[in-house]
Amino acid sequence: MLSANVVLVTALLYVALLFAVAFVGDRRARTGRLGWLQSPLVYTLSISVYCTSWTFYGAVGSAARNGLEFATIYIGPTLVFVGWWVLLRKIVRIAHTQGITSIADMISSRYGKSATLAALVTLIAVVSTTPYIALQLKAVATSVQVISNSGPDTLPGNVDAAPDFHVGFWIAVGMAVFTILFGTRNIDAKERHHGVVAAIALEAVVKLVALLVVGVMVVFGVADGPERIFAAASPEILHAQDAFGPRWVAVTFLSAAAVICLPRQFQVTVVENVDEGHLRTAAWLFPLYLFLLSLFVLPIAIAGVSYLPAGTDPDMFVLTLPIWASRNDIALLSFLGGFSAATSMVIVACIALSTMISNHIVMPVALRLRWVSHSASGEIRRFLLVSRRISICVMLLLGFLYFRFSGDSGALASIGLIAFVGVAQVLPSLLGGLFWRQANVGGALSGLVAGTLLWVYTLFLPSFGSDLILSPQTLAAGPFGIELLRPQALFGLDNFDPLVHAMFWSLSVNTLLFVLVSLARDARPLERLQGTLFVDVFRTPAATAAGLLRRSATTDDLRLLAQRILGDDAAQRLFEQAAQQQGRAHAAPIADDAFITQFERTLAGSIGGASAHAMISQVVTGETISLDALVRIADETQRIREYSHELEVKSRELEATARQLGEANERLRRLDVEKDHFLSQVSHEVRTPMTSIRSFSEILLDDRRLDAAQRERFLRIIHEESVRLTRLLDSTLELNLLEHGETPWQQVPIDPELALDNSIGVCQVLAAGARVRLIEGERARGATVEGEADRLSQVFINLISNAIKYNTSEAPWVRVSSRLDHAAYEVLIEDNGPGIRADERELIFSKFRRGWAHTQTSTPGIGLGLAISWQIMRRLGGSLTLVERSGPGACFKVRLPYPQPVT
Amino acid sequence: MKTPRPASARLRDAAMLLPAIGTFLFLPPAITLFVGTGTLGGVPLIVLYLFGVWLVLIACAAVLARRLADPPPATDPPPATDAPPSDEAPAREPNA
Amino acid sequence: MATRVLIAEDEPHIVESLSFVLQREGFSVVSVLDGEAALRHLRSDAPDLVILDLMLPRMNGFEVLKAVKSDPALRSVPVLILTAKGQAQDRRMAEEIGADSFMTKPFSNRDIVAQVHRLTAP
Repeated sequence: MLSANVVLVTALLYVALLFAVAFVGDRRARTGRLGWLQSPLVYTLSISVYCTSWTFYGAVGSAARNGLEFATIYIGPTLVFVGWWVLLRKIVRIAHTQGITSIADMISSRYGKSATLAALVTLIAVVSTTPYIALQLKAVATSVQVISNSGPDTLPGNVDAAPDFHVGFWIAVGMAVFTILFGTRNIDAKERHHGVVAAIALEAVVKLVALLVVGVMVVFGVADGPERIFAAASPEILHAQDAFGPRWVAVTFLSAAAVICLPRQFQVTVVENVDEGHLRTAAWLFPLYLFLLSLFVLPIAIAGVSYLPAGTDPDMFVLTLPIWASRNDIALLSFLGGFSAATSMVIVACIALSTMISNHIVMPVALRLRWVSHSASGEIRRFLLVSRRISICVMLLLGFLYFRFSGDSGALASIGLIAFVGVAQVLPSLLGGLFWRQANVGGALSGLVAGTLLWVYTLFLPSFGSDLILSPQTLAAGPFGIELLRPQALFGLDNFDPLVHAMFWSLSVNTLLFVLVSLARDARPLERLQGTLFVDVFRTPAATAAGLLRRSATTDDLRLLAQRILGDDAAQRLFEQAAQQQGRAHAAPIADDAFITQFERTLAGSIGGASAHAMISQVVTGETISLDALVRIADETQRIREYSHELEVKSRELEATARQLGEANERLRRLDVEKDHFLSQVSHEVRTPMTSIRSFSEILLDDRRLDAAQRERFLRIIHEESVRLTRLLDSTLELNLLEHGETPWQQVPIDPELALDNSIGVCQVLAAGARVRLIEGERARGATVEGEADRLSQVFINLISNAIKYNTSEAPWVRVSSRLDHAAYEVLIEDNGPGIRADERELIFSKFRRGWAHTQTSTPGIGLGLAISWQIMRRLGGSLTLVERSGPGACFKVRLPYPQPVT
Repeated sequence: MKTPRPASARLRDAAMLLPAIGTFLFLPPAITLFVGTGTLGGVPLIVLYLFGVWLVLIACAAVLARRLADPPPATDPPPATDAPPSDEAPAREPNA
Repeated sequence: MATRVLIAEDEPHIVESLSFVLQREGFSVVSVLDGEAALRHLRSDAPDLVILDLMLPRMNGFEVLKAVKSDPALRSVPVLILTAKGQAQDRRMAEEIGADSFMTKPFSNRDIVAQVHRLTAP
């Protein structure tokens, strides 16, 4: 038997140890020596705040009554943490980028920083947490009574006595002091509470060790091995087929939801997380912790049922078994374990809830009612801290009152799962908000309200027992005798466990409304922005996000706001840091979009997203959301599509470039060949007259015996060949100018028939000399084209004289005719000469090609005429082509389009 | 453009699937297969199954958490492409 | 009897100057303006030397040269190739077929006379 004094002293010493640890932790954190405080191990241990006294004591009780069902409470969280990659990683990343301070803040921020939503979630959290705190107080009070009053021989008698409310009250006071001391040092709710976390980590170790020690004592001390224990197990505990029915599924689901949505779990897992990488460790270490914690639950339950007197409270087996075995040391350790479980839960829950209450309920009201002075620097900061401290006291007082007035009704026993169903109402909005862009505030609000009301009606109110609020008559027959509305058999659904029943109705109606209203309603721009930032948190670069919200403010207004909320020092630091980032070391930062966004984040870390946005909105003007930018980053599939499209375009561009390069290369190669050919042709064309000139001049120089006639003839030949050379050089230059000349020709309206008449006149002499008949065919008068009459004549003369010169026919003739069609003026020049060989046709307009080279006629001339004509026609905007036709001779066609009317 | 999936993509898929596998094994009907009077070394089969699956899940999670590469930063291109130059990544500023 | 030279060349002024220079040296000169005529003349009245331009109408110099060198009756007639192109490739090709000498236009009268003497020397 342990005296009450020993228990009290032990408990006080333990509390003193917790204070010391918290104090040291805080000191270390403040001096920057974080070390183990920031380790993933401490992070994981702090998450074990999930295991309250309800699970510490209650799991064994549950196992004694329902066999393996207790495990579901741990399996749900195990699945969530093992699947951290899917859900927790995203939540933590969002919380880091958005400065989230609580689950209410998370929901509110997602749905356009809605203050209503934040308040609603806070309300749900308070309603479902208050009984939970009461449960902890009761557990500790009961355990004190059990351990200090019971000996091995007096076990059954005392546990049913009324709980000692004094113990409960003082415990509540102690926790309030601890929480206020270490939990509300700073208003920045994002700042980690290192002292608290250190103390909680210690408590987590104590919990686990205590349960393991009791378990080892039972299995190996009392029962002599697991085989003996399980041999003693009553079959109905373990082998019930219906153990794995709807309730098994429901509780697994609820515990999974709770480990995310419970305010205290959100606090330790998300808000207190300093490093996303810690999740990697927690992913397996926390499930391992749960595994070890549940390992001995079943043996302890079986031993309690088997060895302790009938009627002993199964919820206290963890404590009564060591007492029964006369191991007071283990009993004391076990008491400390339960004490740890209870206190850590209350402390963290109070911190989380006080943040939520002050940020989402007190602050908005205060801002609206002007309770807070708007001028005094740091006023809001002080106000916030005070409201948080009061919130903590109020929460504990509520918990204590709840415990005081329902403590002996037995209603607390099932409050754990009832609270789970309550906080699970947040789940549809949370998950929908994380993965569904269309989800909006209307859906979230209606789902939450409906689900919560159903939860209150079907589960929470009936849990108070038949004499409180809901009369037994209402429970049995429904309100006003309406059977369909029976709280635990809504719409006739009466063959289910009340928990499964309540969960089914509340969550399905909640989800349905959430989805339907979200689909029916359009999101406001801010909701869409936040929705995108949440859903695409892994894809949206912070820099892009910062520029989405466009607003302007004066730096002075912002500074004033910062001073009021954060205090002078913090405001100064914030502005200096921002100025430095902007590269303005000794000046005030510019209030650009990025800075205002960053500033709002900082404020949100203190007063929550909704209030921060409300306060910023008071000083900024012209808040707009760049819808373009939003739409651009909104649709991820669109982005991937765009990206692959870009890739495709790129590769097409590359291909095209490669093709163009290949073509250019081929063109260059052809040009190179052409150039070689041209040079060789020029060389040939120059060498021929040079040969005559050289030869005859040598003759003239060497031979003095030449007569005058010979001398004159040879000189004339030299002269002719010189002229020929000059002409060649002129033509070459002309062609070069035609091909590469950039200066445009002055095109004026001319009558092409005049040019043709002139050309024919010039060629008559040549034709007569060569005895070629020059026939004028049909002529089309009256056309006007744009061009240069001289150039056009040059082309005509070239073509007609060629036709005359190279005509080797017996009765040679050349016919010139012209005609008009709908678009152009055409001249045809035909002859009955040898024609153009098929294999020459493609090349006759190239340089140095004489289409008639195969004729026997050897006429002085150079192969540049056609090339020049062709180029002239090109420059005039017309064309020169060889007409395909049967019969002897060649036919060239000159075509000049009419000028385009100027519109 | 068919490229073999990188190992990290495989691991990410595994990390997504692990909780689903766990859910399947822990919930009826899978779990009811082991309900019965059978024991192994004095311990009921269902107890061994439950804690066994639990431990295996923990082990898998530990291995996965250790080997999973850090998620690619937000500016990275979507996975399963042939690593283009990073400055060609999407989410360009519009040509305003 | 004077040594007979056939000139196959389509440029009349070159034919005129060559004829004048060779006749002055005592050669008997016949000229044709295209390849076919050159071959006809070779077959009917085999000269002691052919001066063959490569760029001839109807049948170019290479074709004529090939015909001469593949004809047992004409094979012994020396051929002096004239060309205005002056490309090494043409020269190699002509020598492969069996041209006896090769001159690029413009040439000096003294050089071509020396070549004709060399090729027609007994």
